[in-house]
Amino acid sequence: MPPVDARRIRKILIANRSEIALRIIRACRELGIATVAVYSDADRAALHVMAADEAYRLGPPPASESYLRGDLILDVARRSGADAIHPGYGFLSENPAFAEACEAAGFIFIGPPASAMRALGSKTLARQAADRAGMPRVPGSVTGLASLDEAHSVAESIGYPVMLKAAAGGGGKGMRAVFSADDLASAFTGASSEALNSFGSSEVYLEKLIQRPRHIEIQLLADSHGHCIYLGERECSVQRRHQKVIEECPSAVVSPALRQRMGEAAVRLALSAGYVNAGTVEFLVDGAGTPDEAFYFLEMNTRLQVEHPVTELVTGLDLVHLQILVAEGKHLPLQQTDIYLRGHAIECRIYAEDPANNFFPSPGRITRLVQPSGPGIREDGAIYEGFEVPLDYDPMLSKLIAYAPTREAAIARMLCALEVYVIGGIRTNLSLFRRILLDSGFRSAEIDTGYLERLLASPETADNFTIPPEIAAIAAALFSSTVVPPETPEPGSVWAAAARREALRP
Amino acid sequence: MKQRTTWINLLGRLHKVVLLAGGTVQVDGQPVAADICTLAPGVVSILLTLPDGTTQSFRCIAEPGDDPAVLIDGQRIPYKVADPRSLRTVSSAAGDSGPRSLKAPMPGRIVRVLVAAGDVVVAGQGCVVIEAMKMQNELKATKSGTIARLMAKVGETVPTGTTLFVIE
Repeated sequence: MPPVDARRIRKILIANRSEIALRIIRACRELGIATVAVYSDADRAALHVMAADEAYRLGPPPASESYLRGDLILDVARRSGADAIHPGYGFLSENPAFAEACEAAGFIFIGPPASAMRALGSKTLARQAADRAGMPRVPGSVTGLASLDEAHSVAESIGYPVMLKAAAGGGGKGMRAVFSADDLASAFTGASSEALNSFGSSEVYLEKLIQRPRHIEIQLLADSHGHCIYLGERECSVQRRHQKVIEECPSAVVSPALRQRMGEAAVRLALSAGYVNAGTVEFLVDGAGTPDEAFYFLEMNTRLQVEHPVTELVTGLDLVHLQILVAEGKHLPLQQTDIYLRGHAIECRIYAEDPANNFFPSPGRITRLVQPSGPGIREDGAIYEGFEVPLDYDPMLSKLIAYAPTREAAIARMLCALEVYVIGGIRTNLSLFRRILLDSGFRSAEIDTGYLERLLASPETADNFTIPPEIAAIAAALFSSTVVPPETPEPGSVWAAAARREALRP
Repeated sequence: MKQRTTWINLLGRLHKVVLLAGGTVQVDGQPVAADICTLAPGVVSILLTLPDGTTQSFRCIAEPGDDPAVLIDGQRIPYKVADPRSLRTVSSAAGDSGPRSLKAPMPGRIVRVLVAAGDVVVAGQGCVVIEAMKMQNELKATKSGTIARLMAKVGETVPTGTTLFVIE
């Protein structure tokens, strides 16, 4: 077998921002690898800039002028002498042209090869690959729909309700559920134009709408020597508008036998496309735990996922360390039989959006921050008191993760952590998690991708409030009599103040 | 003797809170054995002594703003300061007649303006699209009428509450 040259990585440029940039920088430090951060003008005061060894400006706040500018990022890589680029998630992470440009410029791209990204990144191509790998998928078309007529004939053949989806899609954009032939024309036009606007490609395809499915995904890790293993599943059914809100590992309903079947199918798909590095295969699961239990391939995400920490806690592995090791061309030091799931982890995605006001985004300055800690609590965030949350990017502020021996204990641990957590100055969805975690449907794991929307449609019961009204009234009276001075330090003054304190130290 | 009375509307119920000198508190005419300790601006600890002599501890945090709330041990409780002596209540919001201003519901960037000053619009018609954090929101006309003034400009970044247009 020809040796694949093992290339030692000494300096990594992180082509991302916020919590994932910080997460990757920490992993690099632990491995003795130097780090290079990049930032837009909106992120000069962001934590990832402070945490890295070096930091370089990309451009103005819009992502199209900063974090999506592959050419500028490669310039920084050259200037700083980096030998590898980690794309994180989002931005350029699933862009095969960027992966190729990195390799062509002599930098290691910490992710899959461009060819595997192309084969699996488009949803229609991935469905064809799933067929070749003998993997069950949702019935429907495997190529883009050429016309409305074709859409009608495909929909008739699989039967309504159907789902229209953008081939290049993600995050719920370019998706339409269609319940009858009468609605197909307008949904087809709507989905195509939304797909064109969001992804630059109007290609849409049709698949059967699975009612009340669970969204369960398999984490994969593959090295460049054809060795691929699966690291259990993640249950991601708690979603709002196709955006994940809570993730867990393991799923309460996946048996060891189902885990093995899904895991092996995912590994087959990855190997058939020459996949290397960390990746995730998403499935819809129907009737879990019943004799009619079935799973269907949904799509593959060719990157590290937001929710990777729950897998790390339960497997005891560090996925970013392993990504770097694999990118260096080394053999994965693990066999499938080494993977053992221990305990239960739950992640809450904390967003700057207001559940009391239609989930409107709420960027702005964080004036108060109290973060929980204690046994089994991990937080991957990138916020601080005084930080101005930019309005230019995704509203995710932080990921709070609780780990405990059982699911019940992990829920209890998360509830305790949420009692402590305070983010002031902007609105967040923190209060939403308490409601979900106390809900009997969630506690008995009777969840599917429509669960959260149904919960939100029902009025919140007073049972969830245990604070005596007189205490709330006293606190409100106290706060409305004393004018709370606005705590709005100037940008960067937190650091300036810290620097002054340091300088004054004897 | 110095004392201060505040009326608090809490989850639809009105409570009378009397803060007396010396730290004594009455809620709805009943004394409450609450020990109040201010930890920081906008943060108080309340130790409530129950009839059996045991205490309950609460950490209360102010969430000031137009829609104020108190955050107590992870539970967010919205409230309104009410003044029962005055008729000036929340229900005196604008009726259906008269000009109606439409304000930005969130900070963001104006990405599209779908109307011009002088346009006739019907209630529910989309007028301005504002974007923040990759989410677009279409602001719709809240009544039928004419766009009397149009302040929204494409590309401009606005804070919450900025008047974007006025319908007459």
